Amino acid sequence: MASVSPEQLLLSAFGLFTVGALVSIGGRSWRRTGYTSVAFAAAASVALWILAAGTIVRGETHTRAYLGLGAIGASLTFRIDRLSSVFLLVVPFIGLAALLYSVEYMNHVHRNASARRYYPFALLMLASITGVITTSNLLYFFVFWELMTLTSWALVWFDREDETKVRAAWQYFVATHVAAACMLVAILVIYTRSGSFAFADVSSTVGAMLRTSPALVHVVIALFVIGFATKAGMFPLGGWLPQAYPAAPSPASAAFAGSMTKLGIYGIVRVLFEFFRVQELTTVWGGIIATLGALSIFVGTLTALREDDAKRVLSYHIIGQIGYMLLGVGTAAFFLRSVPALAAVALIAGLYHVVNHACYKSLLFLNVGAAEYQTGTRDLNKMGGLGALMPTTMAAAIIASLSIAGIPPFSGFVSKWLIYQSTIQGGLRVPLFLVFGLVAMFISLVTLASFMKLIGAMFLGKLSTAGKTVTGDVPISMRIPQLVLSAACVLLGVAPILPLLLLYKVAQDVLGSTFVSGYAALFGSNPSGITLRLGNEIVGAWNPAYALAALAICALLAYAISRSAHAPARETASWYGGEEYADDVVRFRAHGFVLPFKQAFAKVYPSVRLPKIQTIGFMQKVLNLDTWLYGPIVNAGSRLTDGLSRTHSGIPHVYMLWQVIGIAVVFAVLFILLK
Amino acid sequence: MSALGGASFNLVVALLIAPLFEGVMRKLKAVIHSRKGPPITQPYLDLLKLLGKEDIQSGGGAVFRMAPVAVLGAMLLAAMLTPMGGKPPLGMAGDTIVWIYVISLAAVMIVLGAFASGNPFAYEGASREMMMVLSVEPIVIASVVTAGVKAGTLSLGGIIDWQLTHGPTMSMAFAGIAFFLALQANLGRLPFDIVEAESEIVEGPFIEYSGPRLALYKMAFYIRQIVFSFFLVSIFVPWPMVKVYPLAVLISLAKVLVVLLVTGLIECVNPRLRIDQSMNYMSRVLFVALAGLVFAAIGV
Repeated sequence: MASVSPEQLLLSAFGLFTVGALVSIGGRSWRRTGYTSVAFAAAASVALWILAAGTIVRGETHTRAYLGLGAIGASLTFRIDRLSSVFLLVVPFIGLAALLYSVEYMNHVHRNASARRYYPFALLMLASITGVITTSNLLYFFVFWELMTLTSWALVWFDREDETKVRAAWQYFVATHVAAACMLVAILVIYTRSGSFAFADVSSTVGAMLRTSPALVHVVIALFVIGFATKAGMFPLGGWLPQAYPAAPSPASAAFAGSMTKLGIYGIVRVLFEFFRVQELTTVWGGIIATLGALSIFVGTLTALREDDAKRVLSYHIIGQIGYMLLGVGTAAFFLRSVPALAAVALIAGLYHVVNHACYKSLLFLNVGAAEYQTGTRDLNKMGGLGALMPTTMAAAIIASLSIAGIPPFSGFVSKWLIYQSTIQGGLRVPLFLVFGLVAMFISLVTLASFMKLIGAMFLGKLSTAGKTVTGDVPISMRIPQLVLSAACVLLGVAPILPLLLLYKVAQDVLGSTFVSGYAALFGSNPSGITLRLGNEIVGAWNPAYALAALAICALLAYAISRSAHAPARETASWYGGEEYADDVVRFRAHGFVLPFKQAFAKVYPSVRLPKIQTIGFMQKVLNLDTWLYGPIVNAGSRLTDGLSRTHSGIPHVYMLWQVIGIAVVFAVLFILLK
Repeated sequence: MSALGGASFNLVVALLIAPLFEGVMRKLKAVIHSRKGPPITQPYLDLLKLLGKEDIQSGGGAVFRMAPVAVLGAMLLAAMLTPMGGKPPLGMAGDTIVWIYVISLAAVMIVLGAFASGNPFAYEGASREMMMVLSVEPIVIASVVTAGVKAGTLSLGGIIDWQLTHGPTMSMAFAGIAFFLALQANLGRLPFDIVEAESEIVEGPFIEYSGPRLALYKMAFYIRQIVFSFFLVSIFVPWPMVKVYPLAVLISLAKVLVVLLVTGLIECVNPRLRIDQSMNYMSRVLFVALAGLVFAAIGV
């Protein structure tokens, strides 16, 4: 592969995605189009993975300029550095898994719709996401960003028969475009100051901007943060997300959750650490982002506890989980100059959580999609007992749930553990971070409660009426993506050294020269685990290999004890207090799970409800030109003419008075001018 | 002492001595009730009897069958992470945060096992178990973080060292008191035996378990008692620390016995609370724990 340059790899990936999209437009049958798209996406993914691997080893690559717009200093340049390579590894992985899953899912669930409304957009979305994470020009960054929004909007808008889904798509469109507008304004402000859209020129302008107009710099960062945080779904800007994501077909939701949502974090890292890495800015905005992150964790997750629609539960948890990533990134920015080693740990924790969340949240959407595929419902109160029929899906869902809840030894635990460590260490210096750390740890348990409900309601217990028609697990092509993603969840949890080594290099690149600690000085030299050090002090330890070995021994011991007396086993019906009931009559519905806790929080925090953005009403107002444009103009015009006609009173004395005043004014003006 | 030796010692203590404490507590309760009470070896006999009893399975399925094994496994792992008269033997495998989450792994498996049994009583019990976790764990977390802030590290060994060199402090006292006030709930003892609540939801999550699997659960609860008590006495009251290892172990066993006797006493004189009353109580205890954290943040 030495003969293929990074540039060729990137361009061939773009080419493959685009050709795949064009080919799939012509596709007739769902299944054949699906497999064609998977083939193209797989080829493109391989190219991107080779590119990412090369970048991790060699460092960043710049490409030639394409599509130059010399007049405004914009040309399409790409730069692949280690930060983008992290995303280049994850995004195609999730995208490919979701596409493979789509083949049977779409063929079954959306048989009557047209394949050309799905696959071309999915492939183009992957292409534009690749563009977003590799381009090094602000204008083209925006163009790719917008392409990504539009293609994903088309996917949200897939089901056009359902009125609520159309509304959700509309809300998504408006919310993301308001955010994009903010970003565009920020980009244009930077352009007016630097005269260039290139990433490299931005950071060099900031110093000068900070001296001449410091307020403007803060406004620009705020606009960028609004733009990215809306896309990521941060509270309070993510109100659209729990409406829009459930509206898309499940594999598309999985792809959104795994790839698109994360680009908000990518953008914030780029903005904070590359464009505006001046101490006073990173400290202020690091603090703001960490605070919003903690808020997002708290509100998003507690709101999720109230939902009974599986995909809405997952969507609210995106808001909560994004909070963890923002907390990590914000803490990193806050301590960027004062404690670089702590900043590195926090940044690594945030990015680690990005990778983990991509895997388990996509997996959860696929699990829920599988249940929906089989039962036709997403209502947790109607499901139950699917686990006996769908063991693979249940196993994958349990792994994903324990990962998102941060239960060792699964993936979410490691990144959350690093986030707790960095916030508590930050709290030693600035006590506010202790509060964030406590919120993060407490909400991790709320997440657990939410996912216990999901697992219990979907897979465990007695089979519900909705599941009576289910005959077995989902087709093999829908099981493989789930198995691969759950393997990733386990691997990222038990072998943290692999992602840590990569993210450590990313942190070196992103934090630059201020960060000098070696890998071993930070995470210890033992490859099987982490011994976290700040300065010379050991601040925490997590060694999954030792813990797992010990747990395995303990569990084997427990099993041996239970079998020691060779007790006979027998199967019976459940005991319903001596009465004979149908299973569905005495079923404990998902809604009742931890109900007193939900009610307690409803009292403590009555206004937690995420504000619903009234975008549809707003859009109707915007589009109704009569009310705000024509109406006022007509009224103003008629008022003006009324006023004019009132001067024509028909009385000669008044006209003469007007003439006298007019002459006086003329003379006065002449006098002043000719003096 | 090597990590392996320490870990096996903790394992032996957990498996063999934990039921003894239960026996002593039963005896204490009997004395308070003016009963003769069972012999203190009764828990061992109970376990042995259960191991041979028929294993009646209503749920079937791997989750139902594996849950008790995983719960006992997680509890034993927690026992290995807990210092029992010295440093935690598996300190390099996990710190206090890991300890908290290994404990919650056990709660997870209880909940999953209850769901898998398909019994509505078990669901109610699981729901209560989850709520207990949600209301009690914040206190545990806050007091552990207080210790972490004081010591500047979250590793158990580091915290104990710091305690030994710096002596008692205001913040650690608050954290310890909060931890103790939540202990009763962590052990699932009256007035917080809401999860099992024999007289209303018939053992809740464990209703469908019998025979050897019930024995595993019982075992896990005996171990949970001493794990939490050891954690309390070695993190918050590590004094006096003697150099002679067997003596140090005996001293902490004595401290654990005192702690458990106090919880037994509380159990005897209190009726069961409702889950909302319990959450109310816990939210007040949380303020004690947070007060400790505030004191730690301002350095007292």
